Amino acid sequence: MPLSIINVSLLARADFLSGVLVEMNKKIILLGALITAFMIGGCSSGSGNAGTGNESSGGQASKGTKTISMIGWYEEGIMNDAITKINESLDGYKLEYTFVNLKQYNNVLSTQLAAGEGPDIVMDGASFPARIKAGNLIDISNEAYVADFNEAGLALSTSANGKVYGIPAYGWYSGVWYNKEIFAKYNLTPPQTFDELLAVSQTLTDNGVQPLGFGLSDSDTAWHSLIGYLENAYYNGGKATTAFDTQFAKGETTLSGHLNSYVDEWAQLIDKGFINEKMLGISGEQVIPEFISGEIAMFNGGPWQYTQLKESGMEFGMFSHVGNDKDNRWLVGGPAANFGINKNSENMEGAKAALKLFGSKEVQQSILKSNPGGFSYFKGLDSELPEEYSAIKEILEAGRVGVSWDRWGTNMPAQSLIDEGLKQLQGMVAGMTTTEQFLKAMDDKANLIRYKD
Amino acid sequence: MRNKLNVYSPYVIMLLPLLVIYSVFYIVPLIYTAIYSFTDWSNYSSAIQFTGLSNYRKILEDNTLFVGVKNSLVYAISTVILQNLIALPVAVLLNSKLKFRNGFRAIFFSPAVLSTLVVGFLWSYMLSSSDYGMLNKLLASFGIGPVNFLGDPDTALTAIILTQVWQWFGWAMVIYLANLQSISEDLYEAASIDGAGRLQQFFSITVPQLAPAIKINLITGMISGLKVFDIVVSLTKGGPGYSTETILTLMFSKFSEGNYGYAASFGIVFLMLSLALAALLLRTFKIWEDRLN
Repeated sequence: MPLSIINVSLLARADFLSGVLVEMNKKIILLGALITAFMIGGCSSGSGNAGTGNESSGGQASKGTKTISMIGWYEEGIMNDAITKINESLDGYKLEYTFVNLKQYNNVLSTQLAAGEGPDIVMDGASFPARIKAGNLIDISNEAYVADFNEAGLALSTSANGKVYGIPAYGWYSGVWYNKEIFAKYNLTPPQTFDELLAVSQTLTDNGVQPLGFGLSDSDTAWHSLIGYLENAYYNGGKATTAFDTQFAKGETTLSGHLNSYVDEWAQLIDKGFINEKMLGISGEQVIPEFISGEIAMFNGGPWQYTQLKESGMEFGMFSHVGNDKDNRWLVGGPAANFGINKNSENMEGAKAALKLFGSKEVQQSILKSNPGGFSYFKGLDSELPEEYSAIKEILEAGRVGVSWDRWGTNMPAQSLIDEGLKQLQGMVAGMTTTEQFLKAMDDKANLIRYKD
Repeated sequence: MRNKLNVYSPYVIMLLPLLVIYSVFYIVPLIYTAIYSFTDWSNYSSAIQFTGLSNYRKILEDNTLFVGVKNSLVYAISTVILQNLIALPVAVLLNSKLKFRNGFRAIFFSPAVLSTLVVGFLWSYMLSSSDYGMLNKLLASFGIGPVNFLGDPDTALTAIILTQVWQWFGWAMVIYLANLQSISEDLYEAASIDGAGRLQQFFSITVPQLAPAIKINLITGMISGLKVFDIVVSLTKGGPGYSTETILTLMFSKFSEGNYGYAASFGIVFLMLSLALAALLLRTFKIWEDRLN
């Protein structure tokens, strides 16, 4: 083939190729522009609807009804009955409940509320006062159903100026689960004072049984044990009253210098090896199988473990946290969750109607029924306690249930102080931290996180 | 000029979607983070106020930050060194004509496919000091232990590091393998003719020729090491005490506390630290590469 023909052929091919490229360029530019426009559109529409919950979603709400959104850490099975009862009475609205794992709950709710969004019905526990402080909730003081709850139940949902922003779901508490068969084998009875707890633990140790089980790598059971002792020995049976915590919350007093001897007293559990370093390498979940299998005689817990223990077929019971006065024993606990209304709710009327129904006897009864062993703050609503709770029945009936961090929460995000407490307690068990360092660290943390007006 | 535009415009347009993603999910949040780090934005106040450098001053007064920085550096340096010390010889071995070498490659690489959180939860059971702790059971059969791997402040960080060396050395190995396959056999033949032994060949040919892979492994390893978070959360949650807290677990806890402004300042400090370290590493490699050339 002559060279000129090859050149012409190549030139023709080059022309053809450049034409194809120009066409391709146009298509590529169009495709790129479309993808970009699609993404921008996708981003903007996504952010616009996030968390507002004012539209029926997923075809679950029928035509003409608006959705009232709500998130919570109780599994749907626990809430289903109450939600169904509310939806039966809601007119023109449908309450939709979404489960969020407790580990992520605080972050999920906080970021939604901080962005001016979030669910219509706000559910929270120890951080409920923080929601009040941040102005996330509306005042419901004048709603008639508020008067149906006793004062202790409204402790977390009442602001410093006496306004009420929420109502409680039910009451939670923690105590100490014990293995009845092991106790019977060694002729032991549930301890009623701290000295008795030490003696029982020693007897069990001497007989080769691990007395107490704590999963200190991730759970707060040892923290409950300490706070339970303080609730009994210091706040309700010792020098102080619960007003001490209110002063502490305001920054008018310190833990260091006041609680030292009480923490030292409780720390005998560490000194005697009943709480030890081995427990720092164990999670809370890993302790329960050991308790069920009879390797551990006692562990701190609450009604949320009742079903698991009951289904295991073991013989068990619960006794209260102990101090020095067996006639004045206290359980650690308080309102488990509070319900309030998001001030940014776009369905204010529906949210108000739903909260009113949450405050009805029928719904309160339903929530209580789904939480066996719990108690109610609704006046005149008594719970039926299973036999395993017989040792604490009288304490519950007398209303001797309280916890420090609910009182701290009036002027600081209490969960942050609890987290610090857990860290410091791990340090104490590991031998890195003294009682004074522990309490000083708690004071320092409180200074950092107190609300500033 | 117009021709240049014609040539580059398709690429620019194709990059646009990526640029939008990058801007929306990285550049814009980064700018906001920097702005919020100078404010008192928290869960507990309805108004956001400019507070100047107070968050950064608070960081300097916060002893936990130094613990976090120290642990992050110890973690990053240890994992990078150990992973590469294991990965390099293993890669050289699996680059030779070994029987079942593909099987070995797959086995060593497979942990890198798993989620770090899942690996963490599995290791938490294996390292547990409870009666169900598999590793302690194994040690007990040799009359050793029990060892409180995760509960002892002196061993907890080491235990975390070892789990991550186990999970990620296969990743580094694959990068070395890819680089090893591009080294010309002629170099080794020439070295053999010149009388160089295996060890001399390794240090004089293999290691210098692996400079690109070493650079990638060290820099990505250091950066991912500095941002360690999920394995710590799943194994120790920063405990016992503060003994395994890292910069990111601390930042997360500040965020969880609802102190967004303070958490943002942690984020900015972390970014600066990462950039400084990356720049230092790049500079060191540049000097090394210049010497090799």
